[in-house]
Amino acid sequence: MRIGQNPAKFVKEVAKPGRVTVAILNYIPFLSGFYAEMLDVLKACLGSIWENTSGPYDLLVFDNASCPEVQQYLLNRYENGQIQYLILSERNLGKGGAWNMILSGAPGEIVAYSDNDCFFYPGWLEQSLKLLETFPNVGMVTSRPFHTREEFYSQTVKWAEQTSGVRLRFGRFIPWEVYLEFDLSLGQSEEEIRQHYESTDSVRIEYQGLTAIAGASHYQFLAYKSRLQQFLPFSMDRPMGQVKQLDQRVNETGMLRLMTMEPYMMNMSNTIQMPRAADLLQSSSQTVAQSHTRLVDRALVKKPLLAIYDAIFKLYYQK
Amino acid sequence: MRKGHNPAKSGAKSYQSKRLAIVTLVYIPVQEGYFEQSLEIFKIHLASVRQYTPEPFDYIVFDNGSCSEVKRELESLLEKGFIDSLILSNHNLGKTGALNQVLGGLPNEWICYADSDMLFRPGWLEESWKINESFPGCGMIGAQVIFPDWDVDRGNTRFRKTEDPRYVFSHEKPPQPLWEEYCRARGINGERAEFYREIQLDRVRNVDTGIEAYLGGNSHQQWLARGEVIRQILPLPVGLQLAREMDTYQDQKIDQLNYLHLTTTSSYLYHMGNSIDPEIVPEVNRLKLDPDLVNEKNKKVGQKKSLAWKALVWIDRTRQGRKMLRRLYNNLYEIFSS
Repeated sequence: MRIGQNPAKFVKEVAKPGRVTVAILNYIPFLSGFYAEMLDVLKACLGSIWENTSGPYDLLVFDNASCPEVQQYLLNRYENGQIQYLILSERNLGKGGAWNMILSGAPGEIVAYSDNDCFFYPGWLEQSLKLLETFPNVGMVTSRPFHTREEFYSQTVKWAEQTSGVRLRFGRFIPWEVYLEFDLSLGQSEEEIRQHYESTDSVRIEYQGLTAIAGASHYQFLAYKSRLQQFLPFSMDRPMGQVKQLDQRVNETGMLRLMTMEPYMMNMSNTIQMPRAADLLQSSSQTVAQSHTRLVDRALVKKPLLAIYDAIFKLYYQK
Repeated sequence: MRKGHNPAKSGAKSYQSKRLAIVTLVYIPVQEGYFEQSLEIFKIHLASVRQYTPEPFDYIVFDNGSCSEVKRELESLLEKGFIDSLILSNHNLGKTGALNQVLGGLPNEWICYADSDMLFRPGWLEESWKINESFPGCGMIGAQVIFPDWDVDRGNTRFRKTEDPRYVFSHEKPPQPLWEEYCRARGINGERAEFYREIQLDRVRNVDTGIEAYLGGNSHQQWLARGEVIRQILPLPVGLQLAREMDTYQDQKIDQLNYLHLTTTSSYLYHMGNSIDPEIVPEVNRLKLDPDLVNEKNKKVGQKKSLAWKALVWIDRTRQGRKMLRRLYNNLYEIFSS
């Protein structure tokens, strides 16, 4: 039974969250294999936010069932006050499940979402906010230019074509080094990247004194929370691989998808090595050269070994 | 840069939310004074939820800025599987601010909210489902009888005017045991208790099914609702940390949207408040946090049928086997990423 008065009833004000919630989705099931360096990657990601984000913001981290070492690291940062909101899930809800909670639950008016392997450079938030707040009906802003699929920014181009005062140009507006650096980080070969680069144009849009590249990515973006509500809840049954639903839906509703002209973030993937493009080129060409000589790269051998690798992961993953 | 193959992209299934989510808020800023027994009471609440909810559910806790000791206990309960998702907030966002953060994104078809001092009793969910089935258009269903303080608490404006002959309405004073328990649990006595003794409760009966409910529109301490209904009333206004006005907003919205707001006619919940009432000690003694109730994941691992999977599970049984699998996994990763 209730004895006495609950003192919370006498509190006349509650904390007012920041306008921007920077939200990071984290998943590091163990610290070996693919994930051996992921705790360092996460530290670099959060460190770059603490270091390179100016202006008021709250940091929300959604941990999608990571191993205890990682959760403890996050709890320590939360206790230190460096993370304002920490969501710990006992099971991996997939990206869709995590987005459901992040995109509806982030307390700020604007959500700056990112995967846990993104390194932010100074100015990333201000420059991205400028685009978000200046262009009309913006769905997503990503903080660097890179190659994205045209069908997911068709409505942005359409809007630019039909709106007076908007200057639209097609061409190679992303510098080769910027383009290369990002795609290499995704594990693509230089050949593939060059082929893409030479065969596709990017779209540059000028509006009210600001310039953006058409396109955005579910990997890292800023958005008004209210505009994304209509897409929730997402239903995704796999931890990864179904995330393009967001890009597609934003485009289908006619909202703009934009990227900054300059790179204000970089994808680290699963290592903290971010060497210069030339070094990466060398290592990627070595990999290509090796691939012709190794027995394990022959389909007959590779397939069953990869199946074992994936099965062991699933065994760990389901625990 | 990316090195190797991300196994999370290999088709592993992510967890699929259950039909029902049960959500609670915890706020225990200190473990003394008013809050001295609050952690213990929360654990009783949790045990009762786990013990008396007859179908699988996701249990989500929002900690609204509790003290470190309480947070650590919540983390431990998460680790043991008694909590499925734990949301920690450095600031107290108020009850409605916290609910805004949690409720909007839940993919579950049904959501039950309960204060963390509510004791669940056997039958709470079964009786709630019966009401849902007998009274189409339910917006919120409470599993305890709540006495209306204000007109808005009575809700169900349109339903009261129905001419559907299946529904028979009547009024009655609260039965004595119900009234006694209600007042005792809330520390209500004197004039206010007398007022409640004479209050008229509005009852409805579905003559086809025989199911009865009270038309009670203020089940803020606990309610069950469809996720799609809840999303229509969000966001809730954020202001005072705990205020009746905030609760009333949700009642009004439910009524404006012409949803029914009903409760069971018996109390399948008990408001524990901040101390354990001697009257409920026997009930409390029947509760325990049983690990068997939450080890569903391990069962799932063992359920797959393929021979290769069974072999892996078999190897994984022992420490040596686990070590071997881990080494194999790491070696394969190195081979494919070099």
